[in-house]
Amino acid sequence: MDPREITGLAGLGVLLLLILLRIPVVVAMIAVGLGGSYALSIVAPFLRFEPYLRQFKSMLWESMASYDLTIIPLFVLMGYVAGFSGLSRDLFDGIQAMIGRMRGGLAISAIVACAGFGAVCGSSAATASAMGRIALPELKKGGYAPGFSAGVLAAGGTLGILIPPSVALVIYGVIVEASILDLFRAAILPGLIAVVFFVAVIALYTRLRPEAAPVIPPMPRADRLRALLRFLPVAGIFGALIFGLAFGLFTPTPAAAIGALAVILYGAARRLITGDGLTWSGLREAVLSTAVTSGMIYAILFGAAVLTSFFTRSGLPMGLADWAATAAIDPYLMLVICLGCLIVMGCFLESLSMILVIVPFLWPVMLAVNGGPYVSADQAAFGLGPDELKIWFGILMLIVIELGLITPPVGMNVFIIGAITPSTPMGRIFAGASMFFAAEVVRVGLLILFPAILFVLI
Amino acid sequence: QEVTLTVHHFLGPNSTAQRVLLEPWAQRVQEQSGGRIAVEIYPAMSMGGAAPELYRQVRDGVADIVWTLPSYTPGLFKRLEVFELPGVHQNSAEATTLAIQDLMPDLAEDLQDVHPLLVHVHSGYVLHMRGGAIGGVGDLQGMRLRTPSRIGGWLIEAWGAEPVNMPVPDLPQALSRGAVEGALLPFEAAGPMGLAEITGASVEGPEGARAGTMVFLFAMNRERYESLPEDLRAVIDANSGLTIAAEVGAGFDAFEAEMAARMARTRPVVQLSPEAWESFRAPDEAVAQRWIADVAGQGIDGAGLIARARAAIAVHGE
Amino acid sequence: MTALVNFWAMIGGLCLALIVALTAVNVGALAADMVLRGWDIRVPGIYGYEDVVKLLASVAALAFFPLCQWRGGHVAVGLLIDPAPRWIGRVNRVIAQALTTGVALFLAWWMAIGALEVRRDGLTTGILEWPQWPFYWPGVVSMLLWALVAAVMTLNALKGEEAVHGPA
Ligand code: NA
Ligand code: NA
Repeated sequence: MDPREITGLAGLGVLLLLILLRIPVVVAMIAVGLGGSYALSIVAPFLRFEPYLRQFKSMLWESMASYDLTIIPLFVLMGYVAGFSGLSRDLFDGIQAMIGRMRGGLAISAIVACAGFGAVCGSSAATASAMGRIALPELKKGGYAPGFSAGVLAAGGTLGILIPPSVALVIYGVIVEASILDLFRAAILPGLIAVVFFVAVIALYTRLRPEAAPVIPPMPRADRLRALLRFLPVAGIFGALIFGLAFGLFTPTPAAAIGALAVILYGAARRLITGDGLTWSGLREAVLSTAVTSGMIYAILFGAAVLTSFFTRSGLPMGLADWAATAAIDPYLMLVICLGCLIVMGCFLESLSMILVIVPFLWPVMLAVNGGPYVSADQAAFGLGPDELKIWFGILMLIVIELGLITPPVGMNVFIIGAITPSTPMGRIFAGASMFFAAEVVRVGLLILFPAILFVLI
Repeated sequence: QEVTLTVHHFLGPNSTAQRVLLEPWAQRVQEQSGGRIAVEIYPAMSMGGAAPELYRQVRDGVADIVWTLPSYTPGLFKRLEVFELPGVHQNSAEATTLAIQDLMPDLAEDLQDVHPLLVHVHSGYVLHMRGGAIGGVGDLQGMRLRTPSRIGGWLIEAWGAEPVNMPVPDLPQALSRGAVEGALLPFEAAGPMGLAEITGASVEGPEGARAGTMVFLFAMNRERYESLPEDLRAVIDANSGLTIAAEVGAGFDAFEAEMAARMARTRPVVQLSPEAWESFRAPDEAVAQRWIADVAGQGIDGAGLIARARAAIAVHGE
Repeated sequence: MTALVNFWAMIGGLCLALIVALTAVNVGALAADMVLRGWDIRVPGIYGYEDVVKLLASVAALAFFPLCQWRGGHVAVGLLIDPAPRWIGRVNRVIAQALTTGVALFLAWWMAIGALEVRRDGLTTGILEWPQWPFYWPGVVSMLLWALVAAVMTLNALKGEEAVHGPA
């Protein structure tokens, strides 16, 4: 290892240390990027530091002034407006009216509603908090065990990102230069499989532990009709988005803008007709929440850009890829090691920062073990060309990183649900969510063995 | 080695630029300096920043050397644009690149903040149409076409179509969804992007005539260049400007022909009749006049530049 | 402070609303064009649509940073610090907020220089040829406001107050 690579490695260590010391991730990234580049200018004087600083004149503005990235605040806005205008409630009530009566029906309704909400919302945190606020009180009323209920919603929240649109996939696509539309399409079937697996887990659990999920009395007929009536337009909007993306009627940015507009108009129309729906203060809070969430994402994207340029200069990612290309390790073993690393790191780190920090290292390794950037599918180690590999690895990585949202000790979704039901201990929520972990591992195995599942819709 | 030079650019490692220009250049500089100069190529903006920042990066020394498109920073390179005007470039990257070397004194003011290694062009752009071949400029009315540059946008406008500016990586998606109906690109760039699969036809003039081209800038940080010992500077000089112009131009032309043939295997590459081609060339003069008026604001004699550029291209075209 | 950062974030929200409106018109034109094409009627899209979206996005994105800071929205991992004694948490908040102030000032400083340089270079957008430099200044203001918020939060942390304001 040359001094540059050692500097890069040290930078990675300092970064993880700063993050664990609760320094905001974006600040840690920029600080390590700057400090690391200064250190590089000492061990490799041709990487001069003073000229390096001058790129900050334009780097921030140019990285924000991006047409592609506007899809992030737009999808976030759509999700928040949907939450604030009661669409998420309509969704849950409608599904409950249809399947709430079966054993575990409320929990299953919550999972399906999370999936439906995931179809308009790009973030897991937003899905968990929007659906948690609506479904948790209902599950409680139905007499469901609190730990089980909270675990269901924490796991259901991950569908926000596993089902397209997904902020994480946008960011991954930007890093590896993959088609975001193709990534979205590839994620649809695995997302549906996740729903089926989650439902199966609930069905199995409630069979074994009937006391955790009592059968609820049927909804009065009038209520049921009303719920179904309200469900239809919501299902229409959400369905149109998914189908539009799946069948290529629109590209992501216009889809996000039109989706946000449709949800706002629907919320406003409901306010005019039924009196509930989207209020001015609701819209204002939706915009402010969008500002907080997308401000966080934009900031961390910029921080990652600063950090990545330091790592590239250190030569560490390329060194790692070279090593992987020559090391005699079975490609599938390498894949499992990479995914295992992500699962372990997911226990401690937050998902977006993980994608931004770790993917620049793992992607070149995967590309190298597959046979390099020019390999053809029939000669590649995984039987996939480079573009297909991008999509396959992206979806696998997304699933294991999302697992981090429900694994202790740092599980963002568990924290969000915990904030909604402060009376339920965190440990119980983690335990409730843990049974979905097994379903996810099975799903990852399925996608490793049958990559073709991803390419059905592309 | 005693000097390591970083080269930064926005295309991938398998792009024509890296294979035809950057890698051979790096290898020769390393050899001819007896290993005293090492070159590290960073493709795909991996040193950080967005493609439009490349020129500012080389000016500031963030990277020692960059390869970039002057048209990414509209407003900074008014003089270089003369070679992008329709009716100036005559289908050969080699001839136009050689002509550019003759005109370097005229262009010097655009490049005074950097040390230019080579200003060159590609072979010229072709129309890649989503809906298949077109018969004349009338078929383009109201269509959205992706433009490569400011001048390209003017030309598209003059054809009665609508210029759309978008990053190159977005183009395949935009084309396959119909967000744009066509794009101006050389075969050399369109082929590797897979445009053969998502467009119905490529359209060029009779005998492969092209409506215009794109200027590229391969430049070194001025201060970095001047700080090199004299013998190493001589190695750089021996690998810049006129000494490599013909080879790079010919390299682009050769790759262009190869890619054209490859794209023609998937779907038609149509050559327009001379009459139909006339309708595409009709606005050439108006676009040139618009440019002359535009650059006159900066005190540039546009008409004179056009005349000298045409004359030089004519000489090298023979 | 809350009113100020909310106001500035709403300016960003306004830019987002403009993007939504422009996109809706543009998609509408595209759809109308597809339908009317059969009758040989062409409907143009918005001239330079991507240019405008890019410029608006640059303003919106950066305008979100200060509010995000104020509401404690920038991701941080509390794994080790959260369970630690209170005084450690307090010292940690002071350091984190002070570091954030420094980073925000650093970015504001360089961006201001960048704004002047872009103006001197006369850089414009690709299609509309609108100058870029006026769109740098809202970003500089955003960075300064971010620094101000972080500085206030540093002082609050010194006094031992909680860090987060309003829902995140
Ligand atoms: Na989603
Ligand atoms: Na976790």
